[in-house]
Amino acid sequence: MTEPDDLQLLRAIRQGDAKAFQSLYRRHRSGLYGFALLHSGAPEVAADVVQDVFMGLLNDSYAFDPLKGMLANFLYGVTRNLVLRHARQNERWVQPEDDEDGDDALAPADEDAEPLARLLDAEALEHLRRALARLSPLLRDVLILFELHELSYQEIAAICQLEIGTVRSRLSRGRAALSTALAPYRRIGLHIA
Amino acid sequence: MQPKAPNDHRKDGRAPEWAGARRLLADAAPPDGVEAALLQAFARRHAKQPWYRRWTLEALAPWAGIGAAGFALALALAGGLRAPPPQAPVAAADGFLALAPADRIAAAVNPHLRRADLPRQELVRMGIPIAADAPDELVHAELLVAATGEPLAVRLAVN
Repeated sequence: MTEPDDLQLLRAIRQGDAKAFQSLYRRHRSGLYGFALLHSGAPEVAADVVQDVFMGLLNDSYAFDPLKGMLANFLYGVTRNLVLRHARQNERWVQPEDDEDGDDALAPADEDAEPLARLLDAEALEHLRRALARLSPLLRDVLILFELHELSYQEIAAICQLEIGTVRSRLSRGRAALSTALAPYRRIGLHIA
Repeated sequence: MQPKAPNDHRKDGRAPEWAGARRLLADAAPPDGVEAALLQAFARRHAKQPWYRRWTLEALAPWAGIGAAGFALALALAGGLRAPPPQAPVAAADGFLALAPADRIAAAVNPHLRRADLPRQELVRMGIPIAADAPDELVHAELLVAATGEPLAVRLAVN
C-alpha cells in the first residue's frame, strides 16, 4: 500500500485524523529540525521552532496554497521565518562557543553508529555550526538548504522568496565565507593528525 | 598523486564537513515532548463536543436565513389576506411626507403648494411624527395639494 502524500494527509487532518497529523509531523520533523538546528545553533530553539511550525499548521494559521508549491518547501519557508524571527527577538545571532564543553551540543545520539565515525561526524558538525554562526543568516539559509538538504536552486528560491540568480550568488559567497570560517578548525585537525 | 589537504573541497564545491552533518542529522528529531504536545493540541482542537456546542454561528447561519425568509413569506401572505392598514406617511423628496399613495401623487394634475398654520393635533392625526404635548399649538406647514383639493404631501417649516 502506498503512503498517502502530503495533501492527502492535510485533507485527513482537517477531518480530525490524528494519525494523519502524526504521520505528517514524522515525515517532516527531521529535515525541519536539522535546518533549524544548524541555523540557530541551539537545539532548544530548533525544537521550539518545529513545534511552532506544526502548531501553526494545526491551527490553520498559514495560508498554504498547494497550487503554489509543495508543502515541504512551504514548511521550510515557515521554519526559516521563525528562526529569523527568534534571532531578531533575541537581538543577537547565536555565536560560536569558545569552550570545549559544548562540543556535543548539536550531536544527536546515535548509539548504533560506529563510535569513531560518529565521533568524527560529531566533530565535523560542531565545526560546521561554529563556522555557520559566523556567517550572515541570509547566506546561512541558502547554504544549509543546498548543502545539507540538497535542494535545488528553484526550491531554495521558492523557500527564501529569492530570484534564482540571488540564490546562486549567495551560495557562491556563502561557500567562500564558510571555507574561510572553517579554516581554523581544519588546521587544528591537521595538527592533531 | 598529492595527498588531499584537509581544507580542500570536493569537486562540487561542497565542504566535506557537510557529509558528516548529513549523516548525523539524517535521523535527528526534536524531543518526544514536542510530538506529545502537538498531539495534545490536536486532540483539544478536534475534541468531540456535545450537540448544543456543535451549533456554531456558521452552522446556524443558513438555517437562520431560511427561517427568516419563511417568516417574511408568512407575514406577506397573512398581510395579503387582511385589509391594508392605514399607511404611515412616507418620506418623499425635499422633506415632504407623502399623505397619499405614490401613484396618486404622480398622477395628480397641477398640484400646488399651500402654506398653512395647522394645529399640532391635526398633524399628528395625519400621521406626522411630531410630539402631541401641546395639541393646539400651531405649526407652520407647507402642503402639496391636488387640483381636487386633496392634500398629497406635507412639509413642516423649520422654525
